[in-house]
Amino acid sequence: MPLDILEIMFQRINEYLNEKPRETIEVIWHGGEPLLLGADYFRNAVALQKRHCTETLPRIKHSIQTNLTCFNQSYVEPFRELGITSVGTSFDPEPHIRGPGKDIDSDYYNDKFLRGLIELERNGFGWGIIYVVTKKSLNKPLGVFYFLTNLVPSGGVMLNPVLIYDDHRRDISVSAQDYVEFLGRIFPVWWKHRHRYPNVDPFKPLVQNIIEGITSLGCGDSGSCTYEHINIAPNGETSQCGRSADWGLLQYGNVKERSLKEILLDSQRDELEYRNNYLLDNDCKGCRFWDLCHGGCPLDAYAKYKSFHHKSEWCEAKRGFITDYFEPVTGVHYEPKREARPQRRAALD
Amino acid sequence: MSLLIPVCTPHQKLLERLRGRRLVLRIKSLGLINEAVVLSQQCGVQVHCLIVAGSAPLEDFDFAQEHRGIPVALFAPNLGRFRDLAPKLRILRDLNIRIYLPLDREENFGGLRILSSLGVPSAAVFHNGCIDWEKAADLMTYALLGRFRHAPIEPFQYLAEHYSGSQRDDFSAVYFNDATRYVHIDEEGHIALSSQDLEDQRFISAQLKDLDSLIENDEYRERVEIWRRFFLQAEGCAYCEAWRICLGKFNEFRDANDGCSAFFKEFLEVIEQYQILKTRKMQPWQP
Repeated sequence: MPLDILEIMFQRINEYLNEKPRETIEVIWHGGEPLLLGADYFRNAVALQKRHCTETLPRIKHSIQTNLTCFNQSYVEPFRELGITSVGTSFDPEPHIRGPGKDIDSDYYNDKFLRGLIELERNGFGWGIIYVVTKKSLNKPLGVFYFLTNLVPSGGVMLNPVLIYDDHRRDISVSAQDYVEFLGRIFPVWWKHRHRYPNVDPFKPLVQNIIEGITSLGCGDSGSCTYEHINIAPNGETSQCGRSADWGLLQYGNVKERSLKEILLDSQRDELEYRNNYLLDNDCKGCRFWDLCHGGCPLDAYAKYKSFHHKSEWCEAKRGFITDYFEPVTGVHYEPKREARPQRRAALD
Repeated sequence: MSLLIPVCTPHQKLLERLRGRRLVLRIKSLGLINEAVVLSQQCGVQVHCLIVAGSAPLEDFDFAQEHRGIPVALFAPNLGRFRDLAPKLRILRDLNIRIYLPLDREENFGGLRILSSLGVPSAAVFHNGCIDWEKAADLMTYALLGRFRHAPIEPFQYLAEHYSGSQRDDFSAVYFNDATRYVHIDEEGHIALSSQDLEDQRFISAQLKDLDSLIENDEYRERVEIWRRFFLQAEGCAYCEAWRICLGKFNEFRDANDGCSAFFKEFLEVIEQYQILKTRKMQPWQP
């Protein structure tokens, strides 16, 4: 994102927060790989934020998703100034999953990742890891789990299925059932030693939601992404999220021309809100797991059906994992307290 | 000044160059304790601990009441005849001493239990890990979960106290081989990062003046971050449930070491049990 667009972004954030004195905004730096921008870019971001958000600055939080391969000492100061205390990252021990070049040089990549990680820890940053479950990892779920938790990420480990939407890299794609079985092999170990491995997603959030009565759902399952997320592309064009931007869906205009409030209230978003009610009367009617997934990510549904009016194909994975593994292992049968149908646009207006 | 603790012999010129520091001194016998302590005072260094590495059984050492309070790590091959050691136990218990016995000698599994039960702190030395891991597991369980009074056995106690679950835990410090805490220095002032490196003359620096800037040295950093290499392999120790407490120490001997993984997994569970028991308050039965 050029600095002039970045400057407009901070102006828009300031404008929004001035109008909404009780709200906060979290800026998530995401890519591609955001550290390819270089440390000076983040120093400029610090300066622009200071210039344009003098009074609203305490209500702006920053987080970052990076593969850490470019992380070095030069990023420490600007990250601290942006208030970043922990970073999200991703890693795969499997050869040729992540890495540069035609041959996917994972040796080079993994070495750079670990060096970045050490530098990060040495400077006192926390970190969490997203692991993408692929076909290559299906035969050793516990090995992968131990590998990731042996890195002792302070922010935990998130185990997500790889999402493949075209024929590219079909060799690594997994089905919902594959993913369920992968999680199912790990879960009994995690449950027995959950104090040893505290932050493992999706296990911990399910325990919170099902056993502890704490609502903790990611954007795809929350059913509440409708009026809360904005993806801002390098040219300032906005969309619902990174995935909708990739597919040219839910485009809300450019930050150069529209305020964040206008973007957040774009009428196209109502389609997502409508989806919540529609699913309750259709695909998800009577499903006892509604409160835990809300039909799943609308973009997943779109990928499969070219319509938001369906539940996600990953619904089977969530339901299958809970009924086949979570409930038998924990001995807890989930019964929802039916929540009222959400009507949240009014609150934003 | 660097917080790294040098391990060296009590060589006067060397000690003078290390003035103001806390040191671990290697001496050849208990009889040299007083000499080492006096020399340390003269040279202005503090004694963190004295290492006595002997080749005779423990029964042959002459312990002296005057050494009370002086921290000593005594390496012996075995206990020897207990009937000859027994008369020395009263003094031994009064000393600030830890007895190190190698586990590659079968008799030492019993020897360490005996010392512990008699109130003498001890440590098991794993060497290359070619040991009976099942017996090691019994010893570790005895050390950590035995409910009767007994002295600590290392490295079991060290890990049980230091393990937090949220970090990698290295018990090499028990053997003075944790390069984040100890460095080994020869009489000429060459610096090595472990006792084995010193013996093999693999030095990280040939100059004692580098001691204070050692932690900035790239080779030093590589060395203390050597755990990283396990995560660059497609299989091996990083995939083991218990890596976080063993850090792949027995990787080189894995073929001969089938039991290390099972041992450390059990160790991890026992540590967690130990920590729960430690915090649990006794609740007497109430009518």
